[in-house]
Amino acid sequence: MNTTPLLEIEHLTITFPTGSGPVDVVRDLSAVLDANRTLGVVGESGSGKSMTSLAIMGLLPSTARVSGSIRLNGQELVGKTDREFRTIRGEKVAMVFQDPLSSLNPYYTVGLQIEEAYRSHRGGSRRAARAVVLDALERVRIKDAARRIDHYPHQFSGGMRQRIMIAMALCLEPELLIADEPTTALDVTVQAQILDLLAELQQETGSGMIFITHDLAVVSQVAEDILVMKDGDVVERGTAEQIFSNPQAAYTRSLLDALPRIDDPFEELRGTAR
Amino acid sequence: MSDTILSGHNLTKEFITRGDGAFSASKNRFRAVDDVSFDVQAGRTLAIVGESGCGKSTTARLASKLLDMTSGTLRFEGEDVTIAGAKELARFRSNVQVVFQDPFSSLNPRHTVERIISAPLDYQGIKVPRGRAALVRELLERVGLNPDHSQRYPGQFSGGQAQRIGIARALAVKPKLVVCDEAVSALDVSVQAIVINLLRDLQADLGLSYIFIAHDLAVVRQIADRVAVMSQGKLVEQGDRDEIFTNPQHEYTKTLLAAVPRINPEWERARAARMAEGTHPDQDVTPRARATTDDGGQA
Repeated sequence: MNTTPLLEIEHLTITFPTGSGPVDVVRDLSAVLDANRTLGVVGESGSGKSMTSLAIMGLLPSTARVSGSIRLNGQELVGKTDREFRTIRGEKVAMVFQDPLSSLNPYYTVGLQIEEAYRSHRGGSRRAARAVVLDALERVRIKDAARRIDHYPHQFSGGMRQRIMIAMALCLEPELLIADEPTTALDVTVQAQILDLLAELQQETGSGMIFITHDLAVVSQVAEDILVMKDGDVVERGTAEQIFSNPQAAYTRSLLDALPRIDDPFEELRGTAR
Repeated sequence: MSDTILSGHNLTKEFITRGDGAFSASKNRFRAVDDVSFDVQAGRTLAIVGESGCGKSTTARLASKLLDMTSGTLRFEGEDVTIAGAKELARFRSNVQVVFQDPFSSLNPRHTVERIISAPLDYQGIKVPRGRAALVRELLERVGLNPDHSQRYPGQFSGGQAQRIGIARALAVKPKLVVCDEAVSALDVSVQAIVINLLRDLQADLGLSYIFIAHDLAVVRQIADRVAVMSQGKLVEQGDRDEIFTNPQHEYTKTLLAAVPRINPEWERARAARMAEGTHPDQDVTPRARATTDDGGQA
């Protein structure tokens, strides 16, 4: 009955050499993610949440030392060369970053950029690729996609650009989507639309998703399972309901105490240092 | 009731922008702030909220006279300060100070904390009889930083500490009004809570008034007395905090409030009940978790 999970991370440790000796940015992280599920990774700046995603994508700087195991459909990723990773990135794992403007080349139309990404993996004619891209743009609900495909990144709003990044990630039908603070730079109404879109697309494609964020309210809505990270350690793991209704770690509780609630003015927010 | 300290009437700001084409000679006028009026009560907080590009930061700049308005009237304690000469402007600046979003880009990295905090005194030509060093120490203590760190540089502080330095600098000239432009937006949630509490303590102790510019409505709920909602340069709705949050009138305000992500209220209630019972385990299950963050404060 036990099938291989989509993603299995075991004892992942990421170490950087520094002037004052090696520093672990992620320490002994283990996690399992199945298809059609979302794993939320939440933590404050410097917690190691983004480093974890870069390790899965094989995008860590060359000075980083990685130990432990990351298996995608049973296939070991730790120790793969950059060349080997190129067939995995995009194809099997795709990523959506916080800032779409810095991930898009301002000199090329969005259509051309997604086409390039697609053809570098699948080859084929430009015409065929263009049809795939157009379809992807329509799936992320870009209105008037047939015309917009020839527009440049600056001609789109922040939310639309994030849709374009999602379209780029989707067109190769990855099994795993890593969304790293995908809505942090967006206005709250646009954020709601993008979160809805990601959920709908996941329903359609059945892919697994890792959702990295500093925003506790957002992660409570998108993820079924959650890892809480602090300074490179996983301090707590559980279902969203467990984490938010019965947090065990002192750090998780302190985060929830410090979080301002819109429906409820507190007399005093509880910061963790005074 | 309380006195109005700052009032803006029909504030409008137009920017001249280039025409459509990249090299087009034609010019367009863009109205970033369109006929905005507000009052700030002494000792109270007016929050101006809205999404990016709505004109809230431009309004903050008009209110603090960092930017000249195209039309409208600004009064400080009843006095018209719309057009101010050098002398009036200096007086205005000693009454109205600004705290910006990014603590590091608003603090000169090559200046010591003491020099940064005392700089506004120079601009305003304010003499400190008991000496600047003593004043700076007092201000550092006031914002919860170690007074012995006055000879350090901004790079030696965390983000939350750097923002406290920015607040100390704003307080140096003893202003009556502080304009906080996204002052807690760049901070982690635990540090953000500390800075919000600090701003509230300062208000209670010093009788400060705030204009609090923010996109984060949950933060605004914690700090504002009055809330003004802006969209596309216009003020669409203004009212007492709880009115705006519990009974918004304008469609845009409703949309904005509905879009804010919330934790499942059932989970929240369950957690609150557990906390009230005191059934939370007090032992720490984590290997390295500490009770404090790097923000450290007086540590």
